[in-house]
Amino acid sequence: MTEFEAFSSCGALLVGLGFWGVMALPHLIRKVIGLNVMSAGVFLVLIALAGRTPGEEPDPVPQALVITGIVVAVSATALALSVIHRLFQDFDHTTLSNPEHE
Amino acid sequence: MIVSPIVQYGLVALVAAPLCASILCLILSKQALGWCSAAAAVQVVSAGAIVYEVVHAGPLRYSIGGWAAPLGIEWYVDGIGAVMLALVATVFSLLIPYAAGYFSSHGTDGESPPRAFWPTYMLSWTALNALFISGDIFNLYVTLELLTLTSVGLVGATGSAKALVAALRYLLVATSASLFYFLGVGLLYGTYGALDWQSLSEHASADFATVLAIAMMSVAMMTKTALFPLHFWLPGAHGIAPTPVSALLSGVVIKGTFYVQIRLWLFVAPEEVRTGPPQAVIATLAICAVFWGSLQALRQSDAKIVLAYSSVAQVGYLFFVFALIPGSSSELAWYGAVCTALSHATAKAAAFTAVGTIMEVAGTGEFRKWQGMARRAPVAVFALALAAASLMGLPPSGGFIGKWLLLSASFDQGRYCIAAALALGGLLTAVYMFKMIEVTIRSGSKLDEERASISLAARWVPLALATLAILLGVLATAPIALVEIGMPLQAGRVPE
Repeated sequence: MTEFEAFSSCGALLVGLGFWGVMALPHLIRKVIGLNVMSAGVFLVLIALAGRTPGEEPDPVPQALVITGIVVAVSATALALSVIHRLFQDFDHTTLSNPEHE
Repeated sequence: MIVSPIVQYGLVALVAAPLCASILCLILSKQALGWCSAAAAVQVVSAGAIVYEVVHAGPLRYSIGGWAAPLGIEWYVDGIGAVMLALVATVFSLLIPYAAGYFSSHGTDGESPPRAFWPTYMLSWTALNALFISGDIFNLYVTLELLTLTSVGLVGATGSAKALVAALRYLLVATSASLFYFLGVGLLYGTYGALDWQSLSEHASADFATVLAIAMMSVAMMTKTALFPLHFWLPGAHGIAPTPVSALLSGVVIKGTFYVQIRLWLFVAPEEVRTGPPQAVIATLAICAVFWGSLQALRQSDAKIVLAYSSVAQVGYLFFVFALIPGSSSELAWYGAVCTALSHATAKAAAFTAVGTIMEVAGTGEFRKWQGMARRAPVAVFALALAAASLMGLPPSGGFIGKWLLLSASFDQGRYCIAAALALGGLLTAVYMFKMIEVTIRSGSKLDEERASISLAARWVPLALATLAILLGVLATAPIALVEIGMPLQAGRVPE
């Protein structure tokens, strides 16, 4: 198995795991963790693409894409966590089920 | 490349003006409305200038800062992009006074919206403008994410438990979809070594990586546009959001993601991917969307949730374009899709704002309690009726033109299931919209005839939007002629 194949299949595995986490786990923090695992998988696939020609210089474009993607993922995680925190603080609610009051 | 200064400044202003306005609204929040109005004026002028340039000079291309792709960002505006820019500029500008009036009567302290509202509003405008002028698929990812994050912020603006849960569901769903889109971008880059439309459409071939990438990106866009069965997040989010936000989300935000799907499917994907089984799958999902959305809308008792399910159904109409292109008379399907998108955006925004005004007067969102509203909020009810006419597809509204074109294309190709869905969908829309409107005409239980004091904007903005929806039908040749520039059906697709 080449280096590219190893890393990209690992990335695909992480995407699958993360997506399962987002869909199946009930607690909101776990869903956000699943989202982050998913994004780690996507970044790994892209980094593997950067080094797809062994022996030559790595391709800078996928690396630039990944850096942007990391920034976007951090912002999305920050927003998700602040909304979850507000939901917990004001209403003591930590899942996506229908809240009882209001 | 040599680009005229109008194009340079116009394109940059479209992104820079709302961005600066959002920062200014955050720092100097006392004059937030002033900054927003100034930015709106700048953008309306810029959008008009860009439309003018596209009409006279053809598709526009501009590299920011003179840095060429792939590490620089290239902007590309053709007919469909220009049409969408004009739509966004109009709807956002009209919703500014409506939102100001809405929050001054609904706000928790009775005065102004939450401090983050105007900055987030202008940021979502930035995201949509940047989305429509993107020249490569990765820039689209960034603008899609910005659009998602700002929409989530707007949905959760009220801070109630239901709003926060709906906002979180929307965030998780949309961000997962964006990640699959990003993975598709990576696969396409790995296969072709380029990110911009032109290179991709020239070199695209139907090998495994490309098909997988297109499939993932399409499913991601279907999720974000809420095509059945991935629409589950929409009724909660659009129903619970403050009314100007619902108008925005149902009106323009899902048009943005629909535009991405158009770019992907009609411009990038090779012919083999777009014909055959994928067409059948999309047609089936769209037909199910029309019926499921309409039937669910019939069951609801809250007016805003009726309109949210109506959006689910109308998204089905939009997706018929992918089932009808390529095929005979596919240009009719293309024009029909554009007309449907434009008229749905304006009509749905008009319907939401009208419902918001009626809710303010009646004090409740359950339309079964709206007796006598026609006398107490006549302009709003009239606007709702006009919007309903466009949603149903009554002539001479824009919705009728869109439906007519789509029906012509589907009859031409012998796709009678699609034609039946279009016709029956219109009938079902009539039923649930009439249910809402006919209650208002009945005499009210309270016999006081005084007109409730609603702000000027709350009274007239719905009518302005609804009139736009009707005008789009009367003046339909204008957007159609504009969209012809850079149409995806010419032989070489993206023109030089």
